[in-house]
Amino acid sequence: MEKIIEVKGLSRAYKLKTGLKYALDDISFDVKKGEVFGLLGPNGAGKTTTIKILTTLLLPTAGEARVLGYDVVSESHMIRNRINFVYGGERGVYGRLTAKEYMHYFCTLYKIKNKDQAALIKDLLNLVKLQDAENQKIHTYSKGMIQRLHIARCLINDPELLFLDEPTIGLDPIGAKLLRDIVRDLSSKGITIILTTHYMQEADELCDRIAFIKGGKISLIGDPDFIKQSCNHLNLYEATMSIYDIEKLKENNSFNKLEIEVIKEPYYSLNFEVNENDLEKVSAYLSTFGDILKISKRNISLEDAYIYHMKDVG
Amino acid sequence: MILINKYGFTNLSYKAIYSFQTIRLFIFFRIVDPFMHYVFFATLASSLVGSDYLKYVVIGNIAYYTCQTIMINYMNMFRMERRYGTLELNIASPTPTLLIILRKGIVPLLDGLFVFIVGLIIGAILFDITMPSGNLDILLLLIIITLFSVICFSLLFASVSLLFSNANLFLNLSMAFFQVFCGVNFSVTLLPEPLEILARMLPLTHSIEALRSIYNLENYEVYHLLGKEILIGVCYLIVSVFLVSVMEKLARKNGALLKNI
Ligand SMILES: Nc1ncnc2c1ncn2[C@@H]1O[C@H](COP(=O)(O)OP(=O)(O)O)[C@@H](O)[C@H]1O
Ligand SMILES: [Mg+2]
Repeated sequence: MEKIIEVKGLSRAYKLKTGLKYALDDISFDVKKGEVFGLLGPNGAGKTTTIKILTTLLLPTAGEARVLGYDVVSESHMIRNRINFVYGGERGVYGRLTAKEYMHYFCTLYKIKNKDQAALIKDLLNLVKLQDAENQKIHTYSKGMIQRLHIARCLINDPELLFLDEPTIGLDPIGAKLLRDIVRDLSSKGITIILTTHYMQEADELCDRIAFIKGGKISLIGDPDFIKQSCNHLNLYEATMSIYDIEKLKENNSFNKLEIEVIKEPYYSLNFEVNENDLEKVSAYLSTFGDILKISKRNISLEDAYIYHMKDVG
Repeated sequence: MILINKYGFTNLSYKAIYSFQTIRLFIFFRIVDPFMHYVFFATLASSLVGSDYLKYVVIGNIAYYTCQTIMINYMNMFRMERRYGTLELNIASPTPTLLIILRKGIVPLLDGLFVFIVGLIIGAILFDITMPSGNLDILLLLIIITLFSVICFSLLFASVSLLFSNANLFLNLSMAFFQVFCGVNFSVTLLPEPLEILARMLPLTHSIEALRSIYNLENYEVYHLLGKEILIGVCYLIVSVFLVSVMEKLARKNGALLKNI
């Protein structure tokens, strides 16, 4: 498949009083046309920096990045009209304008002919379900509405490639779902999407491929199944049981990442990892702490893999 | 046409980021405030030097206040863009940065035009500064040329504000500088020669002399002065065009576009 983004040995350093700080340290990856590509990592990992470089707003200090075949440093003008981006949060809007006015403003900047603007804006505001609020001033909008307005804005130039940096941050579940539906819809229209998010469930649902990034380096890259399989050696269990002596269980160090949740004394639901993949043996051992009602091996989720791979991060 | 288009760029820029949105603010800051400014300097001048000098100073301050209005408000637009986090969205669009900056300049330019005209009317009504008849066309020409050179100079600040999140220090320094070196309150010929040369490289200096000559308060060759004022404007325009591209490059290099206040 055609590569729409090629990143080779990309670095970005900032000069601080204490010396150089590498926000990105020699990262390489490709994104294929039509993919939804997820960049996942803790705060400060370098996700936004990567996106700023790829959207030509920030220059790298070393390495190379090509978007749509063009160099992000020297050919930014060739890139800008064919991509667009959304940074999560409530910034980036003019609160005094209505959504319609805001869209007209950016239509002009994106050189949409005056006579075509109204129809395009209508379509886009419909797409993000803001048609009923189009004449409302943006400062009255909720976070979710602002986020959807950003999506509408970023579609003005009919981009082939979209960068969405934490688009669902701070949204309520319904707002987040609405946004995920829009992302899926855009992807089905053939738009390549680079997405960052802190919600693993969301990444798993949306992304064709995922890169884990931490401390400015990519630590793992692949499709969600591949990433989960990288943690196949983990033996994760979930159990429901009554426990006589909870303190004794907590002090026992054969269980890693033990999560205990009380259902109703003395019943608890447990989540843990042990160095044993035989359910019978685990079950036998666990019954020394109480009566097991239910125990099963748990499938590895993207979140498990994320926590495992990021475990050494502050 | 562009100006009255409801969804036009200029109108939306004004609505989105300009400081003065209500009639009340406008009346206060565009009529009352400049009036106070003129009265202050007029009083100062007439108490120190005598009332003949009053018209001279008021004329200078009308031009100065116009210049101040344009410069401060033009730069504030970019501060607002930064505050809203919209600067990068503008810059990332396929419209060249220079063009965006220039088009945003239309709003403060119209504002300046208004202040200039209101200033001259205040001058005529309250300070009895009346123009000899027949000079109206040349006065219009002067207003246009003055606004041109001032906006060209202001472009410097607009481009600097791409790189620095707070260019207000530069702005305040220049306003103080202009107050002294553009012949607002006294003739630049009174300055020591090196400083007069400097003064003659600034916008406004020649315009103020020309304006006073139109009002018969000085006797210079008006067209000659206006020619120089245009030339100065063009020079700043060229420097600004160059500076915008340099600043944009630098801003991408050190991430300054993305810093918000
Ligand atoms: N202008 C800057 N000056 C210095 N350091 C910066 C600057 N911008 C970002 N950084 C640093 O770069 C690192 C990566 O930041 P970022 O890409 O925003 O992370 P993420 O988006 O993954 O949370 C962080 O440690 C941040 O402190
Ligand atoms: Mg970020």
